[in-house]
Amino acid sequence: MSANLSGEIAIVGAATSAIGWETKSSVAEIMADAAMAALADAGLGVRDVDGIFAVTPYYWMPSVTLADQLGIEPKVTDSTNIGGASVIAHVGHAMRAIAAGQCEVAVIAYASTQRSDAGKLVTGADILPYERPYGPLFPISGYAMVMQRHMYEFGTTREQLAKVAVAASQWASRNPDALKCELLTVDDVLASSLVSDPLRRLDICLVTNGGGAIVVTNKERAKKLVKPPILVLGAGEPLLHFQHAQLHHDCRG
Amino acid sequence: MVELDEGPMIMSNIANCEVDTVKIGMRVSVTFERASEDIAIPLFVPNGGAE
Repeated sequence: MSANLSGEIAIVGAATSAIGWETKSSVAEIMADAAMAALADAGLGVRDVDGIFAVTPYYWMPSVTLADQLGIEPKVTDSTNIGGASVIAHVGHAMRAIAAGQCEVAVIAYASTQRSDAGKLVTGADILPYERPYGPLFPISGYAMVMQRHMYEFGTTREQLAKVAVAASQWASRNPDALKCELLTVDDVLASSLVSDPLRRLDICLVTNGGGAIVVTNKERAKKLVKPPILVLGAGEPLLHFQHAQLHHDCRG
Repeated sequence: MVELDEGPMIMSNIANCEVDTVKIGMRVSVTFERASEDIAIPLFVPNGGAE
């Protein structure tokens, strides 16, 4: 039986850094800049930090790289990489570490310069020998097949799915840091070029540079800080598969 | 993705047909394309309407 950790930790600071098309900074610098800005947002300093949680495809030990860049020696580090959900998983890992008293103030950070470096997603070293020969675009083709299956199972239409990109463009139009602010229509999405059937160019997220960080601490310390704490009510992570052939039987229809 | 009658599922390409004719649930049969002296890659071709 696990302890109930709901509300035991709080997010007390958050920041982004170097969001944009071009950057001269390294990924480590961008992560550190985001971390420092998030700490400033919380009214804390780098010497308060005793937990580092970091992920990026650029380093094989991102939490160690970030600790070096910040010049600190944390008691707890975690570089778990489970893809795009990593930083959400880190919130849960930090919750457990803080609730266990293993650290008190943790920074959770991510950064990437994929736009400048490749103009496309850098997917790391995995070769996936049973999939790569068939020419899928990683990770786009995986999502394309899920979309194809969803349309088959539930009768979902391309028009309905285009509304995801339309909604994203509406949110972007209200975000001063957004790189593209023009409002999309369903017709715009459906008229864009086909990338991996049925996904079209405007269905697919932008590849950008930038970093982000949040600061979390226990609820007692959070109450003493400048901003109203945001309590973490829960965090969890299921892992289904990486290779598509490992897709769970329940997903096969 | 191709689900084999024996159970496992693998990624592959459907060969020897127009892409628009590929449908979820269609029966296919394996064929092997030689990629090198040591490696042959399994591809699948339509069963010609057989269910």
